[in-house]
Amino acid sequence: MQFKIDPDNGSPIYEQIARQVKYAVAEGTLIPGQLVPSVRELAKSAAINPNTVQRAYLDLQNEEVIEPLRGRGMVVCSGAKRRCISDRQAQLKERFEGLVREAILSGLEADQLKRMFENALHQATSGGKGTT
Amino acid sequence: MWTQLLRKDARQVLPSISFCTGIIVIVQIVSYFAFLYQHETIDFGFYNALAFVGPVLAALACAGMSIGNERQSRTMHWMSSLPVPWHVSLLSQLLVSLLGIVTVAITTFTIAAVIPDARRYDSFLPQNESDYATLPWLLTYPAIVAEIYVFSILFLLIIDEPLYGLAAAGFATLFVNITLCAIWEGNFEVEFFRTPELGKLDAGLKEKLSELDPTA
Amino acid sequence: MSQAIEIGAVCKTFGRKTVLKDVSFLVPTGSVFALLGENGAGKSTLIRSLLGYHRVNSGTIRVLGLDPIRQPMEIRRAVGFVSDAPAFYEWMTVEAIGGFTAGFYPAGFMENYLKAANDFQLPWSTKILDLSKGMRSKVALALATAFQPQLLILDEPTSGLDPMVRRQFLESMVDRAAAGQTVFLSSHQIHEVERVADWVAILHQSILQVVEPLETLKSSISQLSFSMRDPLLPLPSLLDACKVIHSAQTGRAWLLTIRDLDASIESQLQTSEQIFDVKVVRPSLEELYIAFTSNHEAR
Repeated sequence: MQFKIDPDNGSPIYEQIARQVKYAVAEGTLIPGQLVPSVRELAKSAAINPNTVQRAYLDLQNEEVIEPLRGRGMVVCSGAKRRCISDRQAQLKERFEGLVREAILSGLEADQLKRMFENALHQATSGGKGTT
Repeated sequence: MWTQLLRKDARQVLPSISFCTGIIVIVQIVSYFAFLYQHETIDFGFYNALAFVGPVLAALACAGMSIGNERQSRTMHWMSSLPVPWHVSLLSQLLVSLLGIVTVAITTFTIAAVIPDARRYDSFLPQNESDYATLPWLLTYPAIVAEIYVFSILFLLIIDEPLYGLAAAGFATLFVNITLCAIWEGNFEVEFFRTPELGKLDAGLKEKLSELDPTA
Repeated sequence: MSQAIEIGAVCKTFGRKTVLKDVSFLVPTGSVFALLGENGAGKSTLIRSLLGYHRVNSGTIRVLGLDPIRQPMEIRRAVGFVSDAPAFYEWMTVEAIGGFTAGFYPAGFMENYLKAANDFQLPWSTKILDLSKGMRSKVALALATAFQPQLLILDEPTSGLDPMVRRQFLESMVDRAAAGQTVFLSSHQIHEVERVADWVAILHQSILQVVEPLETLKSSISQLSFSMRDPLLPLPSLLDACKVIHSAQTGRAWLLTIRDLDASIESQLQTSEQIFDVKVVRPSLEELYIAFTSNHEAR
């Protein structure tokens, strides 16, 4: 899979990696039992420090998204998809709450905001597939 | 290590050696015919001078092409980041330059010596006693060539611009040699500073002069 | 040993100009250490001192535990160096220069060089004279890494090169670090440094402003921005206790770069009548660099 790293978007690189791995697992791009790239491979292909990759993988291991497979490297855990999906939903919830906060602070009325939300929801569900 | 260095230095110095040899040889050959055409005899002095100039040019060129070029193109800078001791690097250049200069000398002197002309009034090889007397002085020639080479190397290392370095080396050689001669007076007349009195000139030379200008 | 490079209280002057003043830091083995700083004598002088080209006026320098002045040969056998404008024998081909350099190193050099040349897609039989700037730099990198050096020193290796070549350099550096070798580089490409560096040091006006792991540097420094209703009023006193690295004012708006900013300060400022539009962000390495090199405020 391809990783998109932006060193100065505010979040640390290892977080970006971990997030992208979890996203891929949630999407089904990475399936349980599949090998993730080795630290060295990923560091080289994304041109980032191997320690940063190590840190990301450690975090992912602690969250039981990936686990070591003797002699082969790191593989995606079996229950990981479910965990990643709920993780992603939690993140979306946070972003949503932040957006609402910002909208209210900027002076938007609650009704305007509700209408905005309904329009967006309508466009998203009627236009294309809904993602779980 | 040595193979690589020697090959590299040989390759660097080859163009200048070929140039020196080529140019001197061509001038020697062309002037041979020019002399034959213009006069009936060959002026040996000219050939002699040419042959002597060859190795001097070669010394300057070798020093310039090796040290001067390397300094200017900063390859010396790169080499100094490699595990090569500087004296090994220098020695390689010295050896190759020596070989080059000797080659030029052999070529130019051989040609000067074997240019065939039965009518030449003087030959490269010693003919009479006064000629034999000048032989020891000829031995200073390799020393002078070596001196030019050493000065070139030194000045090229000190001065950034190779041409200035070579020019400085030339001046240094002249200065040192003239000073040495001035110190060791008596055996060598320095024509620049004194009007030579005919009486002091070598007998053979005097004879030749009178041949050229009967009124002197 | 644990330290690839040790610099202790190094001072260097050229005539009356001081280029390094009391510079000290350690480069841990196996790390990627980036030295940042403006153009000028400081960074390059320091790097050249590591290789023994310059003698420093005072202080100690140890590279892989060795003294560059006394043991230059041993250092050169274990250290690869890529300068900012590598100069080779123009008449040599890519293959020839590899063969030439291989003569000075143990066996295995040519094999590694060939592999690197393939990775970088270098034209094997082309003369160096005919290579582009990017290709030349890649040759330099291939030569400097072919003998598996314990330490790789790079002085502005990618200045003036296109993004593809810069990327290849980064990948190579990262690969070295992953293999346990140490990489020391000086660079202006701050975005690249931000991706690959473990440690960052900033040299400004001959003084080392900061030297610490990139992660702690980024996580401990915040940029506080706000606007004052009355631009002539002094800054609120609660900011006095902060470790302000740099401050900038444009009209009513203030931007302060602060180390270890207390979370309560932001909320306190937001309650103030005089101040509005309070924001706290984590600056990028470039913004940090600018903050550290703009003035002489205390670290």
